[in-house]
Amino acid sequence: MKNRNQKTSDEDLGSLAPRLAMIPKQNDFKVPEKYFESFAESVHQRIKTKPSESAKVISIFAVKKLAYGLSAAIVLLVCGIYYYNNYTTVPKQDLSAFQITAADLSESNYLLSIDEDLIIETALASNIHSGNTSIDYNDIEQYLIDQNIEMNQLIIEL
Amino acid sequence: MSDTPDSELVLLFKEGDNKHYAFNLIIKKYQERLYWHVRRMVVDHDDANDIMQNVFIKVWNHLAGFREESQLYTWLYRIASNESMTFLRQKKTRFMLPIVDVEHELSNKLSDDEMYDGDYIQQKLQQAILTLPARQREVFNLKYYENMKYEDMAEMLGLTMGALKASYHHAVKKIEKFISNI
Repeated sequence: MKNRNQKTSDEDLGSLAPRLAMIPKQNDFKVPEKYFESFAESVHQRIKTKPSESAKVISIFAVKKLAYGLSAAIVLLVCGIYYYNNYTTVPKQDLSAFQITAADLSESNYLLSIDEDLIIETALASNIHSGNTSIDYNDIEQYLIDQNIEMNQLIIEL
Repeated sequence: MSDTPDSELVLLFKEGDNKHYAFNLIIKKYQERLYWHVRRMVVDHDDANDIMQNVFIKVWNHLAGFREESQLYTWLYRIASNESMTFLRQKKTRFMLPIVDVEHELSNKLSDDEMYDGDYIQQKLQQAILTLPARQREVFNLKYYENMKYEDMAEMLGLTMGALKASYHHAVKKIEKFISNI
């Protein structure tokens, strides 16, 4: 039965592909000596080997997943930077109010370096008086009396 | 003992007491047919050997759950076919090669292979076969070299008989054209 099927198949091949049909069907591949005799034993050896002893294989799909994860993280980072730059910063025209020049810094350093005793001495020497701050001692005393504020109590609180 | 029917071998394996013995009989019965099928797909002996080991390790792990809805022989071929296809896919992915370059590489390997001693026309035939897409090559090999019945092939590959016949027809035409141009 098999031979008849084979013959039918070959006849079909002859009409379909005459050149191919002329080539003898043969197996020219070779195997190492006694390969098939020892094959079953080699399979049993592999089966006996515990899975933990076998080499760990990292799937290419795991690497792909890592690549996808990294790509997603980079895209998110770029989007985040873009959003931060375009939607969360103070408009440029407002920044001028906060801009500090080198001259400002220099003036600030100069003022901080002045001794306050020197300022007081200078003020006294110049006899600087503000019109509104020229208050007579008697007037102060009168004010305290009017407000019923005890002078000693005021000194303690100070 | 290699004439023991498949159903008896499966039963012997499932009973457990003679599991190793039954497994050995299955290997002895099918190793050569499966090996040549795999070897024609991947060309290199070492690759074919690795695939065959994986095939029989899977058989060992899963035969107890084999429901015998299909024949043992087509079930074994299906595992061998899947392992071969997985190997070729991995080869393509690992080396970032288009599948045509994998076939090209296999073809070059064939001409340098000490484990192949075909004459000029046989080498050309193998090169022609290697120009086919992997699945079509498998269908061609199963029909041309192993004379497998279409219905068994359909059971093994999960394809319709019509699709298989068309695939074989196209494969033969392509090979004929390749050989005619030599």
